[in-house]
Amino acid sequence: MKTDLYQARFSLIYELTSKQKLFLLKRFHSEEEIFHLDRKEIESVRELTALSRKALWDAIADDVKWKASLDKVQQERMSIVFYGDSHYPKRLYGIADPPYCLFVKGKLPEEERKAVAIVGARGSSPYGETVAAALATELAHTGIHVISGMAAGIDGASHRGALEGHGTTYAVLGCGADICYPAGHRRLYHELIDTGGILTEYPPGTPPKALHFPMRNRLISGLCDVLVVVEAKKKSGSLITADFALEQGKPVYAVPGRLTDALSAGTNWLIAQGANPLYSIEEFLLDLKINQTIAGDEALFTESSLAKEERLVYSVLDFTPKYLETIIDETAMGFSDVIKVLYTLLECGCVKEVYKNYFSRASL
Amino acid sequence: MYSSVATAAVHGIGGMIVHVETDVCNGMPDFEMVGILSSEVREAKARIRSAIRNAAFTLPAKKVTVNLYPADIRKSGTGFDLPMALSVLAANGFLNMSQREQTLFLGEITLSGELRPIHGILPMILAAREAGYTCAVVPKENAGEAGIVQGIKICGAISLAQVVAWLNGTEQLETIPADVITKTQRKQAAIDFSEINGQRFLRRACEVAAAGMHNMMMIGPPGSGKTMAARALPGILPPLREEEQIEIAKIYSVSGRFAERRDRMSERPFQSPHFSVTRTALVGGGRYPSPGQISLAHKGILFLDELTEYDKSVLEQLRQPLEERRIHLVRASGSYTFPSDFMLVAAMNPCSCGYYPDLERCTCTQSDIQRHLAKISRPLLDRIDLFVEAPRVSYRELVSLSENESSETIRSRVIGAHNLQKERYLGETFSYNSRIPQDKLKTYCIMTPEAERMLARAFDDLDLSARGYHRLIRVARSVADLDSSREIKGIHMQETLLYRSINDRLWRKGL
Repeated sequence: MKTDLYQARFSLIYELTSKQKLFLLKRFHSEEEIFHLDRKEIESVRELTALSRKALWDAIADDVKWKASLDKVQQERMSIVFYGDSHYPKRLYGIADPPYCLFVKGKLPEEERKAVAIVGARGSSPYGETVAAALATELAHTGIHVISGMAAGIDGASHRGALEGHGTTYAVLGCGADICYPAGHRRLYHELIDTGGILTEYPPGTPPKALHFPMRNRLISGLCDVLVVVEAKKKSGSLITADFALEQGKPVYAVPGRLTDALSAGTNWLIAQGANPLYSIEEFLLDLKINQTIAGDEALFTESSLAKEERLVYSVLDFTPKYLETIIDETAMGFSDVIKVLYTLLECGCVKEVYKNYFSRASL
Repeated sequence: MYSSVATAAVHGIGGMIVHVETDVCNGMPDFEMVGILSSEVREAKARIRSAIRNAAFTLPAKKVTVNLYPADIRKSGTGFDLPMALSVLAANGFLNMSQREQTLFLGEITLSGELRPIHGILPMILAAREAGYTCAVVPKENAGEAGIVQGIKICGAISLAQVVAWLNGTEQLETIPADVITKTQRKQAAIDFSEINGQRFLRRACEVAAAGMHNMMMIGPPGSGKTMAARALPGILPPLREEEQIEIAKIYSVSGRFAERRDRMSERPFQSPHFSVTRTALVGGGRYPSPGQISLAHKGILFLDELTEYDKSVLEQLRQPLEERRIHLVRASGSYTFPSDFMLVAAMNPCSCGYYPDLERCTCTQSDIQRHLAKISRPLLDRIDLFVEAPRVSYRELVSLSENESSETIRSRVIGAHNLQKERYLGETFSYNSRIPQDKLKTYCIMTPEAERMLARAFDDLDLSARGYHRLIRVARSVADLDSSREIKGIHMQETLLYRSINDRLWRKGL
């Protein structure tokens, strides 16, 4: 990592936003110069607030903390990519408030490949998660990058779907790249680093604060070519991401949903506002001008390939988990028969067990 | 002069014979009591003095020494009032006790000389019978309880004066016929299974649990019938044998709760302590230990509703009794062993709002759910063999008019399974499928190749632990017994897998 020490130190200043940093850079031409300013010169920069000026001065005057932080960067095997570097994602030059730098664990998305961002509610439904995962898997199969935020719910499902399709997926975090938030995504976090990348605007050690997330959403939409919102409530962070996408001139797709579903209120509203309805994955891929070729070891299963009894059981299932007893009642089949069929359906991957003895359809 | 009167005391839940001896001689007037006596025993001095006076006796001023032997065992309780009063009277020459060597006396006395009932009569009378006593004089209100014991004559008295008159031959005491137990074969449980609509798997799981005496856990939203099922469970367990009824009665007697059992001697106990229960209340204890909930549930059901709310350290206490079927309490006053052979039935909500995985109703986030499950004591979970879901009952099921099986019907199947086990485990130290030790599993749980294959597949796919694997085999054995099948077949294993632990993984292909 051949980085100018001053650049690195500058990047660690959490209290200054990217906008402020880039502004200072313009005014003083180099980070080195900035670090040689004296108190008076800093105070003269009236464009910064008093707090920001103080933070800048503290960082300049500090002789100790930055060393530890940089050590951390080294330890965590992070790289820092600066605005202006050859590796800086070109798409980000086009957004209104580009990041001063990105801390990266793993790698950056490849410039030439198409990238689709998939976002949605944290409190998602199994249906939403299935759609997000299925979409991500198909995108992965065709070599398109999948970008999301590694949050609980739709984000997690998207990353997992992409990994299942043996593709590359990237996450933009609202905290330091060394922090795995949410904690339950630890395994995903590591897999992302191994096969794709974790990116963030925030220096290592920055905790996930609520106010970071709207800001990082602009990067999710910034890095993609197309944004897909799978599920969102009426007031959802995903709608902010959609806003950014519009601002940045990226097409927005939203998955329509049922009138009665609170989780589709946001996406339906987006469609009403002009977003494209994502009603078929195949059509979506065609829109992206990709010819759908389904490679892979698992043939897409069709309902007609099932035996009569299997079809009966499959027909009473949907994406909402259903208890075994209810399945037996609704199919009017015997207990042993239903179990036998369920095992078969589990084998072929059409059905999954969501909770003990509760079953739902597995994929689209 | 000297006299000795036989009486009894309670130690743990057993009774033991105690003698009250009095020596009266000339010298400085004094009244001394010895024999490691607790304060209420010492207070007897004041009580018997008044009672004796009210029985129209005047004690001369002499030096009186009263000893309760064996002198190295602590005596407590107020039952010694009567024997002490009689012993003092006899030592002063007012009574002739010579014909009464085989008689035991028990009872508390009021200042006016009336006899009052005491706790623990049953074990004391049992001990008296064992020791060869042929007659026992007890307060009238205790006579019913004492009357349960066969082979010893029970006389109920109402006052000291009456006992004295009886001893002098001038009055008769009421003799209680011993017949209480066998006749009362009332209904065995508060609720009958026919009252529970829907919940087919829950009812079936109760049957399997009862068949092999497996500990069971029910998981479901509030109001789904978990408590009802738990309360109905005692009704499908085989009837209590006479010795079991007596043992249970002893425990209740010692706790002062015999009245609860009097009319329900044949019913299996059902205890459901609130989750705020303390360690002592649950397993027994105190400086001079008394039985806890687990002993009050001996040969019956201990129901822990809302398992996640119980203090983990309190639940920890259940480990020993669950293994050994008894609890040892060691105190400065001695070591006590109370029986606690109960079936553990637990209930819990799947998540803190209670509705998971009904996503239309559940308002919990994934982390809420994980946190909720983490609240359960893992060691306790490990000792539960059967896990069954109790989902919300649909309206249709609730109002359905179809006949549900009665507890009686289910019980006959359970009894069948118990008989098979009795035959099978003849000569072994255990008597139920749930207690088969690991090394004997191969001998007693023979599986067909199909069942073995299913289990092997489950072991891999579900990532079972060795313990989980053995648990499933035991439960499968009970399912097979209900089917009167010598071997464990595929269909039995299929059903058993439904009852696996919630800790095991879910069926997932690939991943």
